[in-house]
This record gives sequence, C-alpha cells and structure tokens, in this order.
Amino acid sequence: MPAGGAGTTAGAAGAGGSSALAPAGMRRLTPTEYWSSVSDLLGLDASTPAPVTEDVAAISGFKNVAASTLTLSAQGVQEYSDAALSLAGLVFGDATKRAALVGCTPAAASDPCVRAFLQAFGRRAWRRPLAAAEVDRYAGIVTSLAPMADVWTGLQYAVAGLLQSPWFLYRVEVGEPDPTRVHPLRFSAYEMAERLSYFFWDTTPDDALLDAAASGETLAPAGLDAQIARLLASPRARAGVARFFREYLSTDDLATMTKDATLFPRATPTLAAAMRDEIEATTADLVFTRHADLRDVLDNRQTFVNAELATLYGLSGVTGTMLVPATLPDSGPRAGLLGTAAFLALDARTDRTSPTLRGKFVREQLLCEPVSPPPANFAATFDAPGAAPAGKTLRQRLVQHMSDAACSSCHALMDPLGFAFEHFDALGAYRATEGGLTIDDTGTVDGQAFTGPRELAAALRANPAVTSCLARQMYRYATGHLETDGEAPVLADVGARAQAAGNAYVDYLRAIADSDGFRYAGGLR
Amino acid sequence: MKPFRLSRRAVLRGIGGGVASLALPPLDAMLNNHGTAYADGAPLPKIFGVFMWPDGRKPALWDPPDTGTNWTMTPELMPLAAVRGDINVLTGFNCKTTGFVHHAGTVGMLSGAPYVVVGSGTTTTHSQATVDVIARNAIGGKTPLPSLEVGVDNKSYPNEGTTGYALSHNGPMNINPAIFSPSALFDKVFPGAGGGAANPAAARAAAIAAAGKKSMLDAVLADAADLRPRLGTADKARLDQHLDGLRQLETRLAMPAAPAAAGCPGSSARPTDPDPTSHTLTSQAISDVLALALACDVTRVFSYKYALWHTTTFTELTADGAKEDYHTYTHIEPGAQPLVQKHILLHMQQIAYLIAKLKAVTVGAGTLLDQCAILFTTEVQEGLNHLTDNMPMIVAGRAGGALRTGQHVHAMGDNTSNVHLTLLQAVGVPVTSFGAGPGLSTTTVPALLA
Repeated sequence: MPAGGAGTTAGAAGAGGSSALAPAGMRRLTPTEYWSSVSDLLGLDASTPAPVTEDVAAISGFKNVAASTLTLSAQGVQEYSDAALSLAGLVFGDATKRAALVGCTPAAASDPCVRAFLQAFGRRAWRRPLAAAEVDRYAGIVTSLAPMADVWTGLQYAVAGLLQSPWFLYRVEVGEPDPTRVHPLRFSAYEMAERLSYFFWDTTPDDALLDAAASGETLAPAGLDAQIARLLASPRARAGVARFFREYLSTDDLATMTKDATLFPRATPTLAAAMRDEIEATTADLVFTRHADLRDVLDNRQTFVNAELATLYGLSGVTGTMLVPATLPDSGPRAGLLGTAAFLALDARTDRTSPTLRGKFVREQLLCEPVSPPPANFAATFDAPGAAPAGKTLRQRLVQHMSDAACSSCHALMDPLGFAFEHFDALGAYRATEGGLTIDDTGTVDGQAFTGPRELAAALRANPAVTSCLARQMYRYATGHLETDGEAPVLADVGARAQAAGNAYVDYLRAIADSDGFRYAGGLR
Repeated sequence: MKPFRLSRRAVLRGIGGGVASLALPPLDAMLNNHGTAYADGAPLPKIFGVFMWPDGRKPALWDPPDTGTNWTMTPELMPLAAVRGDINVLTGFNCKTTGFVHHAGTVGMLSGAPYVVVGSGTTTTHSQATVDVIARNAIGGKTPLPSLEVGVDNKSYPNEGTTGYALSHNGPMNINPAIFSPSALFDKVFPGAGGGAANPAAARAAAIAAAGKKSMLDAVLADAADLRPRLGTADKARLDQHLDGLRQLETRLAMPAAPAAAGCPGSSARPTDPDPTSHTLTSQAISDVLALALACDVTRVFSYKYALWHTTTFTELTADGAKEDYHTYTHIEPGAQPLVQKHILLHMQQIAYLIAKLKAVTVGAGTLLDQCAILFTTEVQEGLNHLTDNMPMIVAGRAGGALRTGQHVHAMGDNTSNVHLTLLQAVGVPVTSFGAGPGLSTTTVPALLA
C-alpha cells in the first residue's frame, strides 16, 4: 500500500458509525482542476490548447460539488487516457521541455535518474509520496520500453500513466481515524494539503505544501494557519477566489449569452468578456486589496471597466480594451453585484428583462432560499411580447403571476425583488423609461419596502441571512459538498469566528479552512 | 452456380488472431441464401436506439385522428411520410413518473423510474439505468463498442443536474455523455482510420506505441486495484466503472484495427464538422456516422441526445424569428405558435433523416432499419402545458421481424414503460419488467408485436 498517502484503510469506515459531519470519499478533478494541475505539473504554457475531457454538470452552481459523486464514463476514461498520452508526447517530444521536466539525463533504464524523477514527479502528481512498489511499477514501464525504443520514450509512457491513474484523476480524500475521537475521520496531512490547494489556488499543491504535509504541519492548528496565510498571500490565491465567483455567479455563461442584435447592437463578445472580467477584477480587489467586509460586494462602487463597458454604464473618460479602475457615482442608480451588467444581462431574456429571473437570483443565490419549479399543466404565455395590450409595462403585464394563485405562491418570492431592476434593460444599461412608459421599481423584500436596486441592496446588507448565505456558498465550494443538516453548528461557528475577526472575505476563507467540516469527516461515502 | 459462402467465424479466425469479440459487417457472402441470417444459422444482429427531441409536440397538428395502418397523415408528421410503412406512431400513453416539470418526463421516458434530487431547486439525477444502458448490458458485449452516445445540441442549463445534461445514465450521478462532433464520433468508431502503418518506420512507431500503452494501462489497472480497498461502498462502485473503462481501452488495444469505414455498406469519408449552430447539418452528419457504425456492426446500441428541453438557438429558423432557447417559445409565443410548429417540423425532419439513412443500407434481404427497434420520444406532451400524459412516441424498425410497423397506435392512458419493455424484448434483451415506482411495467404492447 502507498506509504504516506491517504493513510487509512477501509476498516476506519466502520469506526465512525454516525456523525454530524458529511462523509469523505473520492472526488473527481473537475475539468478546470485537471487542466490547471497538469499545466503546473508539466510546465505547460498558456498557449497549449486544453484537451477534451469529460465535463461535469454543476450541482447548485458548483462543478466540484458534482464531481464529488459523479462517475466517470467509459468515454471519459478514454478521453483522459488520450489527453495524458498527447500531453506526455508533447513534453517528451521536445528535448528542452523534457530536460526541464525530468531534471537529469537518464543514460539507461537503470539510471538512478529514472527512479528519482518518478518519485519527485509522482509525489507532485498524486499529491502524496509513492510507495516503493508504485515506483517499481512505473520504473517497470521504462525498463520494458527502453530496449525497443529508448529511456525517454519509457518515461513518456510512465508519465502518461501517472497522469491517468485514479490516484491523479481523483482526489482520494478518505481520511484516517480521528485520534481525538471527536469525529470518526480526520483528513490526513496530505489530504489536507490538496484540500487547501484546490480551495485557495484551484490547482495541485506546490512542493512547500507537500513538505508541510510530510511533517504533519497541515494537521496542527499552528501549522495549518501558517499554510493558510502563505497560500492567501500568494498571487495564486486569486485563482481560487476567481473560480468561486465564476461558478457561484455562472459568469462562464456570458461567453454563450445571446441578445437580440436589433435591440442591442452593443451586445458583442468583447462586451460580454468585459462583464465577466469586471466580476473577477472587482472581487479580487475586494478580497485581496481592500480586505473588504463580506457584505461590501452588495454596495461596492469601486469597479473596473474598459471603454465598452464604461459606455454601457454611462461612465466617461475610459478608453481602450483593458479594464481600468473606475468609481460609480454615489448619486447613480448602479452599485455592487446587483448593479453589474453580468448579473443584469445574464438574468434577462434575449430581448427583454425578466424580473422573475432577477428575483430568482436574489432569492436563491443571495438568500439561499430555493424556489420551487413551475407546476405542470399551466400555459405560461403571459409575458409574451405580443400577448398583452400595448401601453403596459412588463411589470403590469406580469400581474397575472401575482393574481393567479397557482403562480403567486412562488412568483411572490421572486417578482417583487426583480421589479427593483426594471430601470436596467436586458443588457444591463440604464433606461429612464420602458419605451416611454413610467417604470415602477418599488418593491418589498420580506416585508421591507425599497425603491430601486440600491435600496434593495441596503436591505439585503442588513439581513443576516445574506451574510450566512454567502458563507454557505463558500463552504460548498471549499468542501465540495452541499452542507448537511448536521453541519449547521460548523457553519454557525465559521460565521461567528469570521465576524469576530472582522467579517472580511478572507476571514471567512480562513475560518472555513480551519473548520471541523473542512478537516474532519463523518465516515466514508 | 452455387453461391460462395464464408462463415462468420472463419472471417473472425482469419483476421482476429483469436479475438472472437470483433464484429464485422454482415457481408452478403456470409449470409444464408435468403439473406435473413448468417450461413451458420446465427441471426443477424438486432439494434436498439433511443432518441429524444425537446418540448413535446402539438397534439392537434401531430396526432393522427385515426388509428391502424391507414392513418391520416398530419401536418407535423409530414416529414415522415416516406417512411410511414417502417414506423409506428404512438399516442395516448401516459408517463407515470411525476414531479418537477421536464425532469419527470425526461427521467420517466428514459428509465420509467423516478428521479433523485441532488441539490437545491431542480438539480436532479436519474435513479435507475436508462433504457439504452439496459439494452447495452444485454446485447452490447459482442461489438467493439458496447454502445454509442451521440448528440446534436449540447446546451446544458445550470442547476438542472445530470437530468438536464446527459441522456444516457448508468444510475444516479453516473452518465454516459454524448459526442457532439461528427468528426470526433467518426474517430471513435474508426480509430486510426486516417493513419496506416505503411512504411517500416511507421510500423515500428506503432509497435512501440502499442507496447507503451499496454504497459501504461497495466500500471493504471494495478493502481486502481490498490485504491479499491480504501474506498467506501459508493466510491467502490464509481471506481469499478472506471475500471470497466480501462478494460475497454485494453480490449480495443488488443484488437486488430477496427473495421475501416470503407468496408461497410454505405461507407463515407471522415466528415468535417458543420457549423455547430445548425441543428440540421450537425444532426445529419451525426446520423451519417451513426448509420455507418451500425452498418459496420461497431455497435448495436445507441442513445441520441438530439436535444433536451433547454436548447441553443435553432439558427436555421432565425429568419422565422428564432432568437433563443426553443423552450422559451413554447411558453411565450401566443396563439397558434407558428414558430413552435416550425421547430417541431424541423425535429421530425431530423428523425426522418436518420430513419431513411438506416433504411438505405441493405442487409441481406432487407435493410438495416429492419434490424432496429428505435424509440423516438420527448419529455412532455406539449411544451406549453408541461403535461406528461398522452406522450408522443415514434417506434422505427421491425427488430428483425419481431415488430409490426406502419400503424398509429393510440393507448387509453397505458404506461409509457410498456413500450420500452416491448422494444427491449423485441431486440432480445431478457427482461420481464421495465421501470420502477409508478412507472414500473410488466406489460408489453400487443399491437406492436408481429
């Protein structure tokens, strides 16, 4: 069995019995985790095209949550095999690249260089040291191929094997018995290293983190805190935060968003990319530069725009395609996440706004209150452009949502929130009127009245449910599972500790990585 | 003159080096004098397929008013006029699986079973294997590929789970994703078709690659064996399926080159991918390669994710007003919904194309279509109302003589799973029931049986 690896045997599963914490198990790398990991391991540059690898359907927005339980198909196994072969071929087909990767020149299959490389590369690829038998196994590939080809070719197939082994394609996080016996399982030192690395950096651990695991530092509170601080201080932490917001806010969908070209001639692929990049730049600024309060994302006016996005926002003086810092006017209608074009355009139709979609986002993504899907046997033709009398706003036409009992039970949760944004068209630009008709953007959120999105944002900021919802979304992304009922105390503890520390986004990241839910498990899946 | 006969086994011995699992196209020389079976008496292979189109149909425009073989052609079935003798049009069956709209019908029409909620809102997955997987597990073992999963529209809508993402499921959170690129599909069906080890250097490189892959897969399989005892029950099952995938790679590596496309009836060259926003061109190119794979006996089971309920824009209908997800128009277009009608016609045209393609391939005394039982269906009665009773289905092919065709069969609320059970049995899958929960069926549809 591998020496330093996952550390436990299946026998530990029985030790647990019942626990409040979620079970541990084997998690597939998501396609993006796979690609960032192999790019780091092989030293690939950004111009290398990513191979086709089986995608995963997100659960509650997060692909890593789905990947914790999703099985790989036979087609997927073949795709990962083909990808490993082609990437290994790319590196070993280039004398410079292979020398940089291997670090020594093997004269023969028996050269110590071969085993030394397999040990070093294997540890980085599998995120734990290889057992002697595993090194033998992969050295055997070199020995068998060297006579008919050469040692480099042997190493090429060994690397292709290491990169399609289940030990690479799955994050094997099966835990080991918790010595304090508080929980059935704790994640091992190496498992903690990979959990930290994919959470903070969205990629495979570096040597320093693996060294910390080797000395058990990732298990001890002080050592763990030191590693968390190191990871957060690195520029690579931007990748983890960016990945979280991309999945939480579905901003990858901007790449395929379509808008009616006649109504929205400004809707270009470059504008959609700027909308996506604005979210990434703004959240990175809040988290890393300004160490902002978690709730500032709701009313933040410091943003980043290029000329195209500035024009959409009515900001003057911005030129060029690069995003530059800009301040939204305090007297203006737009601020925070709910003022971004990314949100306003994604949660709209191609040719008109959708108060329902926008309200659904607020309800589900900011308040963590799922809305039931529509019932069967209804004929939903009410918000058709041509279906209602002219001279009525969309809000007036949507009145059926609220008057028909079959509809109103759910739409009452969404539409009154979404009406707040009616001054923003389907692309996210401000409009004074709706085709000449007066816009009513008043509403109520759980009993509190507001006018327009900035008052709605203020109400949401004051609502503790929004803070805990944001923390819960981060926890899902960090742990790769939807919180169980038994984890409520863990989440409460995360919130209390983060608030005591200052309520900044990074305080939540630290509190989550330190939490029992991140370090311990309730048994095996 | 006595016709020359070549036994199927002799052919396999001749080229297979003992690999008896390699399938070959049923060449005429290997068939009996009637062209109805192999000369050694083995029956011609039967084919099972399932195809999904999105968001139902318009009953008033699609359903024939009368039943039997002389059913009156309807506006929305017009594209199928040329193959009406080879199909059955089914109406009046009820999908018994209930719950979230679109999800219940999708899962119910594919597996006859309930779905499972795995996340917030409508994030769901299937609870049971889909009908194609049941067929694959029974009749997929004799061919180089146990099954093929193909697709046209790869729209995936956030937070609809695997139900809104993939058609073919082995079980919960366990999918067989489709291939959406005609050229990638061709490469999967005919690996290495473009290459060829003509010169000694290339032959030597191929030998090294084969040896390298072999020792690489051996190592990976040994890794998996080490890993397995450390896992819990659910993860063991996931790893076992991964192992199946690795063993399939190993099997294909041990096989001689798969049949070349050129050796198959109706052969064609490796396609270049058409504009992916054209459902028509992509569907036709996918159907071409699929028909070739079936004609070559590379596989006998397929699932065809033409589209699930959320779709990309059908750009061929841009001039008619299509600007977004077809699903949207089923809800917002007022009145008689002319744009929705055009979409439905387009779906039926693609179905007719595949059926005609299979009919054009001669196998023995009949056609490839005669060997098929293909279920074409959708997830709601009509997009506008989301109902799952009176579901529309089309069954194409005679399953090697087991099925009767040419009819409009109208059931009075019978379980849709009865149709699945009938088709599975018709292609030789030894099952006596299909589905689970309210969708469970132990009853076939007598009108479909020859």
